[in-house]
Amino acid sequence: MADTIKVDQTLDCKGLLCPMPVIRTKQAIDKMAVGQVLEMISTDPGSVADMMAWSKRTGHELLEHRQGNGLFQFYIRKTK
Amino acid sequence: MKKTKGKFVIFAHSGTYDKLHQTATIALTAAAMGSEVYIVLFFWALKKFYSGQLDHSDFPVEYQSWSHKITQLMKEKKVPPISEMFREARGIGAKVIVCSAGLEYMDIDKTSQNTGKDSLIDDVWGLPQVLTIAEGAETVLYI
Repeated sequence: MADTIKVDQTLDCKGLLCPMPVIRTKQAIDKMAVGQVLEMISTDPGSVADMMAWSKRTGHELLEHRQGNGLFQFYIRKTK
Repeated sequence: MKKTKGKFVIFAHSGTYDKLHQTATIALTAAAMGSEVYIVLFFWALKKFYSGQLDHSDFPVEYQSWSHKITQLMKEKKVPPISEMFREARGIGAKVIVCSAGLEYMDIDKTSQNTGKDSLIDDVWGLPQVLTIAEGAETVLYI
């Protein structure tokens, strides 16, 4: 599915430890328009659970996440 | 009492690096999760904020032997300095509050870095206002 998602901005969080991927995601989403999609790439294995919790709490839609080769990719649509 | 969803209050008492780091990361994360965050500084946390040594890596006596190793690892892993995390937390809405009595009895130099444009402090309150804000909070931590 990720191949079909139109990404408006990519955020590179590789090498950042918890909680910084979530913090950088929040800061990036704040600057985007409603409906736009952010791709966030992390190497922190905790970011899978973290991004699920963050999207549930904030209401921004986690469209998909996938992982491989030590990378975690997230696609988040800004909802408000 | 009805709890206010998302209100998050940290009573920051300790001024050692490990506990202030926890205060900063938890406050920053809670603010990023959309919570209304208040960090209230007392005693040694307050003293450290005004000392100009907020990022100084001092650990409690019982953990001194680990101090060098952990400090080195944090640098290698590019963990942000405590002062930067507090700045970022404030940038996304967290409020840093100072205990007004503490300012008097902790021998604070009020002309130090936490005044003016570089201040990390949002307001000075007494306990009645602090307790009013904490009332009904979803989460209250004492660190």
